[in-house]
Amino acid sequence: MIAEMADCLEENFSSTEATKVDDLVAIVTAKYPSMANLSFKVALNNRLAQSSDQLGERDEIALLPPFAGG
Amino acid sequence: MKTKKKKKVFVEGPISPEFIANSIAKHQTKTTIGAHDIFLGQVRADIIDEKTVAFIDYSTYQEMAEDKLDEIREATFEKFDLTCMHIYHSLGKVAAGEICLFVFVSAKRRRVVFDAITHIVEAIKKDVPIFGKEVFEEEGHVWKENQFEG
Repeated sequence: MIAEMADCLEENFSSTEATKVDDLVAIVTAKYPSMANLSFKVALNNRLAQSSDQLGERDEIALLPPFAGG
Repeated sequence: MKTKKKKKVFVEGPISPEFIANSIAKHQTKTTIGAHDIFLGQVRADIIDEKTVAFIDYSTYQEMAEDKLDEIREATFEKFDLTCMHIYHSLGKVAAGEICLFVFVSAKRRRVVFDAITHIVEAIKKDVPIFGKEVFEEEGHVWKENQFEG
C-alpha cells in the first residue's frame, strides 16, 4: 500500500536529517503527502518502534500499513 | 542462550485440503493427544463498492513476521498446556473460497485447545505484519484491514 503510494520499495535516508523515529516519519510524509492520511505503524530493526526511539546508522525502518493476516 | 530455528509458516499460494488432511494424519502416532482444534481462514468474495473480491494477494514483512510468530508460539506454549502447535499462512494469490490460514493445536484434553486456538488466531491478526491486497473481479483493488470483534 505504502510502496504503491511512494512508487518504491526501499529508500535510504541520512541519519543526520533524522535522529528519531518521529523526525523520519515527518520527512517521509513531507515527501509523500498522500501518506499523511494513512494509518501505519513504524518498525525499527524488526520491532515496533516508539516515536521517540533514536535512530542510528544502518537501522532498518519499515512503515507498516494495517495488518490483514488470516 | 539457545538459538532456535524459526519454524516455516509461510507457504506460496492457497493451503490445500490435502495438506490439512496430511497434517491430521501425521498426528495419529502421537497417542498422548486427546483433542485437536483447527482454525481455517478462508478468503471471502466480499462486495466492496459494488465490486467483488476475486482473490487476495498476500505479502509480508517477513523477518519481523517470523519473529512475531515465534513470540506468539512461545507465549502460547507457556500459557497453555499444548502437545503441539502448527501455523501456516499463505503468501501470494489466494482465490475466494480457498484457505489462507491453517492453525492446528493439540493437547491431552479439549478445553485447552479451544482457548489456545482463539489466542493464536487473534494474535496473528493483530500483531503479525501480513498485508492483503483484495483484487476485484471487475478491475482495481483495495487493501484489507483486519477487523476486531468486540
